[in-house]
Amino acid sequence: MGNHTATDYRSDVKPVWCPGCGDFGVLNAVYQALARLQLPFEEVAVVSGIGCSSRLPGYVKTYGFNSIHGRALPVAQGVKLARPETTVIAVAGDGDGLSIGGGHLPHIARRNVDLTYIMMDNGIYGMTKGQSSPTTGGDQETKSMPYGIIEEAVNPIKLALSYDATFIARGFSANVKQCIDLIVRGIQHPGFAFVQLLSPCVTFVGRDQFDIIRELAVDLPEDYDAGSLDQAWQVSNELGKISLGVIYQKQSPTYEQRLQNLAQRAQEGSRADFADLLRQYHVSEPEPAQD
Amino acid sequence: MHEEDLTLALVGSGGEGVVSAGEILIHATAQDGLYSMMVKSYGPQIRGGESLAQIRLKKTPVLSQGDALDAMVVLSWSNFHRFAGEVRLKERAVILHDSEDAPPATLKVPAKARFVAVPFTASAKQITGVTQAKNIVALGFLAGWFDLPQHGFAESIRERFAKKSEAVQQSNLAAFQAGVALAQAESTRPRYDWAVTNHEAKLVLTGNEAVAIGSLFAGVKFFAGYPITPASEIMEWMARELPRFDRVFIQTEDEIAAVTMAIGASFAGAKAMTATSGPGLSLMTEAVGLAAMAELPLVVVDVQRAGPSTGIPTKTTQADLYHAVFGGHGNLPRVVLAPTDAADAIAVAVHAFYLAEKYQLPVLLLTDQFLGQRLEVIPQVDFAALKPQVITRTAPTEEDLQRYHRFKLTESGVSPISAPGIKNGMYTAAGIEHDETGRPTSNAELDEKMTRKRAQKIETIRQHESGMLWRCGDHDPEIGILAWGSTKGAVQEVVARLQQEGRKVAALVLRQLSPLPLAQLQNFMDPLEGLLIVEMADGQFHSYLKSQLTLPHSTRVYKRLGAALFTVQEILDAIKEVDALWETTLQQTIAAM
Repeated sequence: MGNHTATDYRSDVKPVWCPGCGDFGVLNAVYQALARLQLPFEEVAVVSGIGCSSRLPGYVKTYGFNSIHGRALPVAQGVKLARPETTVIAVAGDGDGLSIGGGHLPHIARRNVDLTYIMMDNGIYGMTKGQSSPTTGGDQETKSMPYGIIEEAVNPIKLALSYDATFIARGFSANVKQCIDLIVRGIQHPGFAFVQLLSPCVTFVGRDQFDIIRELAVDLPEDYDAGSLDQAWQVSNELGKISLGVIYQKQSPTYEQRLQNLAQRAQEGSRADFADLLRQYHVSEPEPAQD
Repeated sequence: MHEEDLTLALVGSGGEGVVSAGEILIHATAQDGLYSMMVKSYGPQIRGGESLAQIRLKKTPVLSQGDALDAMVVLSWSNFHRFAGEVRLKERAVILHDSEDAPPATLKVPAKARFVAVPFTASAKQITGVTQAKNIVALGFLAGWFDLPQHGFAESIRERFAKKSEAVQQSNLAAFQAGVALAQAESTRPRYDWAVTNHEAKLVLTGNEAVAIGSLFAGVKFFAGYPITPASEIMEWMARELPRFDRVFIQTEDEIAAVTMAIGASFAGAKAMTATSGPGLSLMTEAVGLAAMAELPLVVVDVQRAGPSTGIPTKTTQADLYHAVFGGHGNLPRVVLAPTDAADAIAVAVHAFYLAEKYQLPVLLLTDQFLGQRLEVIPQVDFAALKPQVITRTAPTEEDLQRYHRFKLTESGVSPISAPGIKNGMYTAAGIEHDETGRPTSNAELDEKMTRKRAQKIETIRQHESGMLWRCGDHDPEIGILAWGSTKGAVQEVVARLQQEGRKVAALVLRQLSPLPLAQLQNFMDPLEGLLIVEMADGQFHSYLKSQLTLPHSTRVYKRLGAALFTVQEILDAIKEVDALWETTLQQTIAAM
């Protein structure tokens, strides 16, 4: 085990986020979670799409990938499946992850690829300066909805539950301690971990976004059973409060384990070789191919 | 030696076993030393409906699908009208059809063509108890009629029905023999001699299989794909084979996921690829830009099909050239390669990975439906010769890692590439513009430097790599033909025919479309008095060449859109137009003197 402090995981790139942005809390929690797990820098990859949240990989002194809009999840899965020993963390915003990239969520959930997906949810498009996002709620007025939202907001926890994700948690970036805990548990969870972190946008929603969340946020009760799907559905349907903590968790084989089993079945005890493969295509006095 | 060169077609409705019969014929005759090629033609619905299998058979490797037919077997006339436009019969062609199914009165055939009614259905029913085996009876009839060597058929038929009972295998063998006997009873049939002395090792495979085999040989470790005709066979091949080699196959939710997963895998250090067709390539194009910007090796196969939009998934084209060469936003350095036939598809796939890994950029491999789905018998491929191109990317040195600059500015444009697991090699890959360390930047001066660095790779490839040219014909030609990709076979035959007529002619077929090997191309064109450009698209290749080179004055373009494959004859006719053009130019020059 190494002896890294949270500061050791900081890169020398300075965040471009606005002062007071909720994303600072998430970044801080990521540093501390990595330090708590003492993960070697070179064994971690943080992968993102596009948006304010997606600048995060550049601020972490691990491998990082700031890809294209909405594609954090497929890029992250490629990294994980090509090199399973890597600890992969995907980060996205609500726009990136639920709008353009929303189609990838059901599929990573049903595969149960072993990575942690942090959705930094501020309910707005920050990087493009304040248009509505899929989680913009209430009667807010935005740059793209100047007369107020006329669509219902997406409920990310409900989505993750209905897609049968094996780990679902929600935190609030102002409560860094809890965020660290949720990220650590997400990384430790074998399989796909979905962690929604409410991360206010002080510029385009306003500072009162912190206060509103603080007012509604409650920790899940001591006796809450994260193994109970019924309770998880109840939490996801709550009105007038926002429950924080691990909302649902279950054990299921990971995609990587299933791939290994599949390879064993395909190989029937022995690994194939190229010359054998080529023989399938040979006719007339076949000669062994040189591999 | 008399050259035996036979072009046959089997026509029927979906489910009548036209393609199966063709496959049996190809495997069977290959065992007796013959070469062949089979193209399939079927309706846009992919499953069911009408189908046609055209086979050309020779003692030497087959270059193109063949023009007019020596014989056509019609298992049922019900859907024939849908193929009428694609079927051309030789003057003395023979049309074999079921005794119970008379040809339509409206059918137009050459005056000397001959109809032979054969009891396909009745024989099948008599021998096997069911009518399904009529394709096997027809196969036997063809074998008997054309004196095809028969030793391979028994094994191929057994293999085809290997999963069925011994009784089924036996009755199909009997159906085949019945067909042979029916043909041999005909005293007026022609005589052929297919005896081959040189039994060299051969492979039987499609272009799609060839691309897959080449990729595996090149060391592909990760394949992500989404089904699309006519590229799906590559994906299905990978699904079957990669797990046997401890490599990763994944079927994704869409094309964007496929290509971005491959990019993620490449970032993690794996040789990664995807395969798609036109509409899929459109979806992937943003990500191709990401691979170029993040300087990650990536191989994307595009098996072209008629388009735009959904087009005709089952028909061929060369009309994705612009998209492959120019598609994308911003300055997007990429390599575009195009194999010419199945054997070449193995070599070009290996070369695609070689360039991708060496220069850290996306490589597009342009094949097409014609090449991808045709079945070919080819001479054994020299894999040992391809081995030197199987390379892995160079990891950063200890010195590089002391102060690691992932995107270090270098003369060649290529920088030391790291990957997760490498200590002190951490960096952030990004589609956003960045400095040498990977740190995001919007500095105009730096952006220009980095853009130049990425573009430099293309110049380095142009200067230091082979250019992947294929040439045939005279050393000092008067007339030249320029083509690319899968039109090579027809062009090669055209050159041979013109040489027989005493013409000084040569053809150059490009296997690397971007970057264009400009110097070699100019060298080829300089001495020419006339040039014919051949492409199955609306002038994309011609205008692309024009944008980068000075073409000879007497240049004509033979371009044709549409689903039918190029024939040797139509290209020969186009050569006459080049001759006429040259003649006119010559006279004008003389008149002006």
